[in-house]
Amino acid sequence: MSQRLWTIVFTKDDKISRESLEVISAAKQMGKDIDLTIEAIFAGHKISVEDYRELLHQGIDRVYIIDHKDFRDFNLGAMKELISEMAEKYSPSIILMPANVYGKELAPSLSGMLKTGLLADCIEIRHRDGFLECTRPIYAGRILSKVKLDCDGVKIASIRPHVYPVPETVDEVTTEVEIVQYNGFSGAGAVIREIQETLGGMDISEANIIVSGGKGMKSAENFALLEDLARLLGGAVGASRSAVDEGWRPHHDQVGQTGKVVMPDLYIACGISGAVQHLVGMNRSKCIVAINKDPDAPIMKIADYAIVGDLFEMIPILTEKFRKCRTGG
Amino acid sequence: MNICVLTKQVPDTDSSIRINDLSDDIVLDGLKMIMNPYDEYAVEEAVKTCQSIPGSKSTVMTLGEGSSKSILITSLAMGMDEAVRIEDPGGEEDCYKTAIILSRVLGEMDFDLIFVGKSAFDDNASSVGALVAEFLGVPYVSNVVKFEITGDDSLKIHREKESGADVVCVSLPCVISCEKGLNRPRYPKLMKLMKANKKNIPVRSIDSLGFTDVEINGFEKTKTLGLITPPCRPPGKMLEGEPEEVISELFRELREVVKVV
Ligand SMILES: Cc1cc2nc3c(=O)[nH]c(=O)nc-3n(C[C@H](O)[C@H](O)[C@H](O)COP(=O)(O)OP(=O)(O)OC[C@H]3O[C@@H](n4cnc5c(N)ncnc54)[C@H](O)[C@@H]3O)c2cc1C
Repeated sequence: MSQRLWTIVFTKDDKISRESLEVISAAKQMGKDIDLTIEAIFAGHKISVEDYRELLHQGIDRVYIIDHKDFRDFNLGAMKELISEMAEKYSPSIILMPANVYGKELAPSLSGMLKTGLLADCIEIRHRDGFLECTRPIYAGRILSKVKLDCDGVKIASIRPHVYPVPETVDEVTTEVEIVQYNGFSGAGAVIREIQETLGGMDISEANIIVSGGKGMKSAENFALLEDLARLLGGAVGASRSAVDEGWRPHHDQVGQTGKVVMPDLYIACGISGAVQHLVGMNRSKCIVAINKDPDAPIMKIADYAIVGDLFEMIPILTEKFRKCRTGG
Repeated sequence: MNICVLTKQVPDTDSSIRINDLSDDIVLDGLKMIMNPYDEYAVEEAVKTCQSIPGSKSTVMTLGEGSSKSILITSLAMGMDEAVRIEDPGGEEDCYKTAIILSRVLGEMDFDLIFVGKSAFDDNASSVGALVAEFLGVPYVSNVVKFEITGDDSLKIHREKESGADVVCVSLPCVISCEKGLNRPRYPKLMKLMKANKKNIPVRSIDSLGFTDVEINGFEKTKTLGLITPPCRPPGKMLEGEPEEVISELFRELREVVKVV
């Protein structure tokens, strides 16, 4: 018999977030091993078809639309109430969601509410011998743990962003749409009063190319060197904790254990020594370039290209080469 | 105001973390153990809040074995009023189980506010705070970087997220998870550490909480199958010499070999 799998959809800037689509990828991957009915839950306010059209082209079975003012912004109390009401009615076997900030609030809250187990922040999820099983990073990514859910009832997992790809879209729409009623949240909860999009540039965890600077940058002004290069490459600027602690860069650009985990195609580390707390945030990048005066700095041991030298000499030359190549010179 | 902090002991994040022979845990022998780094923000915020509201009381709590007493001493030296240790029942380390035990003790207490760290260095699940809130039936807000008490029983807080922050209003009692940037945790002074060391720290057993072994087993929702070390990166190339030459080579490799640009 087919099992029901739900994916929870979050939006960002009024669009379906990339992480939410990646979760659909994870679901489809699992659907290769067992017979799954994949359904997405899209809750919002004043929803039009345009808002969820993308979901109809993912090759999934059904989309549930819930339109209520409580879902104008993320509302943990309303979300968990909605999903547990729906779970009672439809009995899903599995609920997946992104392990972003909202998902990391919702997944454990739901697990408590539904008295069931949770696999948090999975980088791989699979179904084996009737169990839900995952691989998840522990010790800030220095160890990977294989864990299985050993409980009855619905199984919940959150999926780490940017590990699974965004699924290929399909042209033909076979996805059903079902409207679900929600009566509003009456309990005590946390309500968003204002959203501050403080991010000047790009969210580094979504960037394909990151140029990152550390203590070796010596000042906030010198980061202009990295911004020039990043702009040319269509990338974002990251930072080590030391650079953030110096006040040179905002915390949301910090890479590492107490910052973001990034997996870009190219990570260029400039004046970063490569402390283990930094490495765990970027060592899954496809290609790593390190520019450092010190050939023995730990970052040089994990870099694909370890450039020994003064970054203030090296970066401008590299930027110039890309600029020339851009302008066809 | 009654404020609680939930904390746990973890290995120092600078230490080398190795997997044991059975591949079911890490080698704990010889590891320096510390208070989970994010919990320092929780302790600091609790101490600060207590100082600003006369008549407040702060309690720090951990579920852990005997050695974890040391992080309670650190918390007391940082300014927490009381400490409680709950004896770890052993078995599978599971967020659900941890949270249900902690919330049983919290349920016996009168609390207005519970601070936890954003995540624990060892397990990285960021789940215990949310689960505790759920079991106690109070709201939960994670990743808090700014915290303000706006009325007798309401808070205005900033939740940091991927693209900025949400300004959130929430009523007490509630559970708050603390993110870096919320405050600057103080260092416990030696004198205060010595004084805290002499303080009697009550220990609660699982039995005293009225749980049976069967119940405790039922709270273990997950089972660890094994630990592995992430695959190593293949060795790279060291490029040294004249800046112009070195960068030319890098540029060529990036375009032709890696094809990332
Ligand atoms: C609990 C905890 C959590 C942490 N979390 C994080 C985290 O999330 N992210 C993080 O990054 N760190 C984190 N750290 C801090 C980490 O341990 C390091 O202190 C930090 O990463 C060092 O930053 P850095 O490499 O910029 O500075 P440094 O270690 O000071 O390195 C500077 C480097 O720049 C090089 N350099 C200097 N001048 C030049 C030049 N002109 N040209 C080329 N190279 C030059 C030097 O050779 C050196 O290698 C954490 C620490 C702890 C204890």
